[in-house]
Amino acid sequence: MAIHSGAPRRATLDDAERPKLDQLRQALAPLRDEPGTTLEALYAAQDIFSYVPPEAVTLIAKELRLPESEVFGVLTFYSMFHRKPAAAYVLRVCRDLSCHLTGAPQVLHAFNQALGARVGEVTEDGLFETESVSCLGLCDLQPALMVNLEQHGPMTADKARALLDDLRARGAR
Amino acid sequence: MSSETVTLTIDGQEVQVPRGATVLQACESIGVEIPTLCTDPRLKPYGACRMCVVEVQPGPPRPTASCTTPAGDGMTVVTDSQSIKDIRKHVIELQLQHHPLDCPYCDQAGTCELQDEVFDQEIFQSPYETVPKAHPEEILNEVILINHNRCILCGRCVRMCDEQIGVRALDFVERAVGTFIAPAQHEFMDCERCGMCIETCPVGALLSRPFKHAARSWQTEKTASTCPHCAVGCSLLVESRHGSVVRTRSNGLEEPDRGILCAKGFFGHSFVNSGERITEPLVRRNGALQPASWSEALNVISAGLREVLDAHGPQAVGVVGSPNTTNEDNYTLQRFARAVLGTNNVYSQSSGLHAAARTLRAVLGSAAGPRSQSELLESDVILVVGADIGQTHNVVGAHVKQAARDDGRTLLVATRLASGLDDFATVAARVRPGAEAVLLSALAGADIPNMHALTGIDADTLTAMRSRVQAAGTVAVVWDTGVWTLGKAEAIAQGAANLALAHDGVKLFPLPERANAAGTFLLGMAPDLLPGARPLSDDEARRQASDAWGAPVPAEPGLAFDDFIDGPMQALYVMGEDVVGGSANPQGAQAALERARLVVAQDIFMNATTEAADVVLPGATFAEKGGHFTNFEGRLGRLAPAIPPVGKARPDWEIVARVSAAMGADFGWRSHEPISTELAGLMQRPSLPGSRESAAVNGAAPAPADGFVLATEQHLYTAGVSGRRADSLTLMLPEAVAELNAGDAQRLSIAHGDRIRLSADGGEVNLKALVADRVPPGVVSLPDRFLEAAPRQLDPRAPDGAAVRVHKV
Ligand code: SF4
Ligand code: SF4
Ligand code: SF4
Ligand code: FES
Ligand code: FES
Repeated sequence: MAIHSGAPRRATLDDAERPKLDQLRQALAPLRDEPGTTLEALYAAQDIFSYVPPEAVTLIAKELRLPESEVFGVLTFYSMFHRKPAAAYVLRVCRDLSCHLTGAPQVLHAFNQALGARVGEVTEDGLFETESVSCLGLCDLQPALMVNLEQHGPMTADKARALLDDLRARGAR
Repeated sequence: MSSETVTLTIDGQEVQVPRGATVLQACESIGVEIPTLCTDPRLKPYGACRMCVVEVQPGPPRPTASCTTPAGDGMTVVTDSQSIKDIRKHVIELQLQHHPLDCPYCDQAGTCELQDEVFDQEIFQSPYETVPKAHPEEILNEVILINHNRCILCGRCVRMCDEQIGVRALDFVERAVGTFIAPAQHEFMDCERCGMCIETCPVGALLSRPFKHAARSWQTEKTASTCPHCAVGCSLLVESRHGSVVRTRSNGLEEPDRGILCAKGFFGHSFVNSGERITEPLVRRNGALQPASWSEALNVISAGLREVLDAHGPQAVGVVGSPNTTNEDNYTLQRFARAVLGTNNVYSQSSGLHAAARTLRAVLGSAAGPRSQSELLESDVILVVGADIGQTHNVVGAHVKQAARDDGRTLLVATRLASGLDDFATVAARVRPGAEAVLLSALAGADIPNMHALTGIDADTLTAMRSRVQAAGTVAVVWDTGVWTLGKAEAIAQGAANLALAHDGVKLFPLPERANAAGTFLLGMAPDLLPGARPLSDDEARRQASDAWGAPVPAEPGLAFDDFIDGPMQALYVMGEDVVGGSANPQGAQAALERARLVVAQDIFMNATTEAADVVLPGATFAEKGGHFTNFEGRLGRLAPAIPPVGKARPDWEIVARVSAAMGADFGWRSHEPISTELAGLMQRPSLPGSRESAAVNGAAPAPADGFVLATEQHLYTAGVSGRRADSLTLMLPEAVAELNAGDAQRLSIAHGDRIRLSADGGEVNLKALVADRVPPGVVSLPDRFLEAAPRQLDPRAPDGAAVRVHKV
């Protein structure tokens, strides 16, 4: 229970999103007295919001009676959780050894050049975000990447730029 | 050989240690030094840094962390082989890949554990490619900052906040080389500003903002002393330089603090060197207080007192001592009053602790207390009633959390506000302000109609608490006796006594509201008591005091304070207290002081009483004098002068003794030690039987349907008049606030930070609103210690539990 003299936490969710907190509260109910359910809770939040907003972290801590610092620590430890609304297309470029040797850096570079964004940044139109990740299990497609759950490879810088055009044509989901 | 110990060999030397000790502890027990970075004796072994590696046989064929390995029978330990030395060196070299050696700029230099290792291992620089992190210093809150670049990820701060403080505000975030220490969501909401993460950090990563670049650690003088801010009485290490206190820290692992402090202890010292201190005597001339020499001031006082004694007799004179000053100060004032002035008009401002202690003594006898903290923490059930002791007596609160979590104590919480204790409690309930005494009686078995409406606690919860109390062998009942008990301190103590009469295993722990409130009671700072808190009516006690003081102590008790100032008062000597500001009727008290022939006020800051005084004398703070406070357990906490008194200020006992000498009665004291000895000789505790009668107590009326109930508790960040001048504390809580629940705030369209007005039958106050989760619906919480919005302005006699209306202004 916080004792404080400062302002309450900043609200980040807009009015349309806030009702989803009730949905999350319901999803958390069966996890309440089960130890070790932090990951499940974070997944539940991500399912509902598409990412884990700060309000969800606070709510999970409260409902699961965990220190909020710990929930935040877990959230930030795992790469599979998003802390910001995810882009429509998340481009997960494998950076493990064999993909690296076969040109992953050039692929990633091409994306970032074309998008004017760094790894992890969502483009202003909300469409794209690149991630550099560990082996995707697609070594046969090296250098490999995934667009959301869709597999692509072997990639080149040119193919990367073409892929962006293709995705733009598909538009936001 | 008993199974309680194990025997092992360390570097060829045989050593016996208790079973359960670690290899590290075994090494330390024979003076074999093992370097460590992630170890702190207050924390559980963790094994993060690998500095403490040793070779252990039998055991795995690899170096083993001695801090996490239990010592075993027949073990052979090698601590100084070449390979061990190489590993240690390697650990530091790896740390230095990221750690900047910016020691000249770092506050931790000189006390940094990493710096010591770099020095010992003679490492000039890391042999590896260094990749310094380049985070800017991050300000975490008003008082704490973190330099992530220096962090060695030992986790001590995280564990301190969790294991010892029970707050858990910090954790590791992100992962791998990007890992760093942060509060939840990078906001420091849960932090209680105790500073203990700073205290344990082995390097200059977590830092105190008030201490930033204030002094190099080796430049300060270090003086062991006692915290002046509450009755826990934590030991402090006061660090000073050029006559100023630059920081205070925790000192040792002994009782009562066991090595931790709260925000007030760690950050609350700057009042000592506040520019607002009274630094010279002031004498009223032509209606105004003007600087004067000590001899002039002493002359005015002695002549005035003499004149009043001659014209009106000793009944016209009274003295007021203070729970902010030492036993020696109060004792000197008492001796001066009873033996030199010849009056028993001896007071200590209306105190919840005095009222509670008197009630408990009347019912349960003199054996009722005080009792030690270990008795409290070792009770099967710990019941906290009323104010949140995590705010009023933070360090005891932290120990209670630990006892509940680590030692299997059952914690029952019946506080008015939600608190950090709730998370550790078996049953946590919200009791309605005003219904605490009734609740205690109900737990004792009294059948109380309308229980739920009265206390706000439903029947199931009450039954759950009652059955746990009844089933327990020992039960500690703990309550703060601060501002919230005004006007109902006796009733609450009676309720607690009822419980003790109903259950043999119940032990009572009334926690005094200020540092030396217990001392003023035990010293007998009251019209009808003597040192030892023996009754003045006890002929033997009076004879002993008269013998010690070389003058007869009058047998007639003094008057009650209000009767005295509204009656015969012609001269009043006040030491370290604001009798006007702290009065139920400030205007009346001020008028009484103005009517008197002579008012002397000795203090560290000006207040309503010094403003009305004829002579003002500059007293000394805890950091400027020797002596003792008596804490809630009755334990003496030693003060030692860390700096000379500012300006012309003098220790309070010395000022009183000089006044006495000026009146022809020189006690012959040139330091506080002979006073400590003399008073110790008079402190025999009386053995008084109690009535052992339980009594019905009154409860609060049910809450008004449209209004609020007032809760007034001391806030963690407020600490009396001195706390208001400690700038680090005032940063944490800059102004008076009223806290209310989000639902209530919304209903009244009050937003966080809005100005609101609280009004009650006794008056109104205007202040800032905070929307706070900890306040239950229908309650408005008004922290004490803000003179501009004091609870007494709403109800002079018993503000807590009063019906108030809340308006947005
Ligand atoms: S100051 Fe105290 S409460 Fe705050 S993070 Fe540090 S240890 Fe925890
Ligand atoms: S901030 Fe200090 S105590 Fe905390 S992990 Fe870093 S080095 Fe250790
Ligand atoms: S608990 Fe009390 S004595 Fe201890 S540091 Fe805090 S204010 Fe000082
Ligand atoms: S190494 Fe890139 S997909 Fe396996
Ligand atoms: S002191 Fe043993 S691992 Fe850090």
